Amino acid sequence: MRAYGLVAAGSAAGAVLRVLAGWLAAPLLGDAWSTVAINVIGCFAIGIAAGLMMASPAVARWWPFVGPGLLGGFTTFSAFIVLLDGLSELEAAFVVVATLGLCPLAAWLGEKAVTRAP
Amino acid sequence: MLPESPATALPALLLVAAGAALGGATRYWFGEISGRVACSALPGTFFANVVACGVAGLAWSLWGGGGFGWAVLGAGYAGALSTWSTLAREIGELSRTRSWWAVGYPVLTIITGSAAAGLFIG
Repeated sequence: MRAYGLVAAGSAAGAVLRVLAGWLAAPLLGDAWSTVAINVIGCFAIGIAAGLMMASPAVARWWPFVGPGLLGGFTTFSAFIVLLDGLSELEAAFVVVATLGLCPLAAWLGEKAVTRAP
Repeated sequence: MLPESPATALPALLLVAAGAALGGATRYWFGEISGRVACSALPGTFFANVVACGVAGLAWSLWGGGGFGWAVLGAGYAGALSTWSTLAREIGELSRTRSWWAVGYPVLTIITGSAAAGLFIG
């Protein structure tokens, strides 16, 4: 039950941060590209978090709050899909390709950044 | 989803938080069930993302990405039920083991998620 509480609290905080980031970024980037940016940042962060947690069992206790919670709630797949509807086919293709390429890359880079041997 | 006015911003954020707490817990629950049945949380992530796309499509068709309804159901519940961060890590895992699924899995999620959202929009 502890894990569910942590995930719920983390998700609530992550989603609020996502909406606030969207409010800041949407006037500059538009809704679709600010969602791309939010997802890429969240993926980079989960890479960092996963790398740090693997190194420290004490920190790993908080994984449900940070991983599936905060960053699961911060990133979103549903808004990414729904926002494609309002774009031209070309722009939608760019958004899909950018997200598909950058999100896994960002997660990998994040993990690399903290797990590289000193 | 921009707030209509500063006065609606705080209640909208509280509704986002409430919806997201439930959405995130639902996603975690899907992952737990999936881990028990399939020995992997991946099908749970897939299911959470697809269901979230359907919910977001419904919310979008009703409220068009604004107002308190979208805040609780679209930005909050569906936003947190779905995830890119876990998906990105699962793609990374797949790319280390079964290379083609690393492409097939996200593409399948996008196609199925779009179909779920398309039940209500477009």
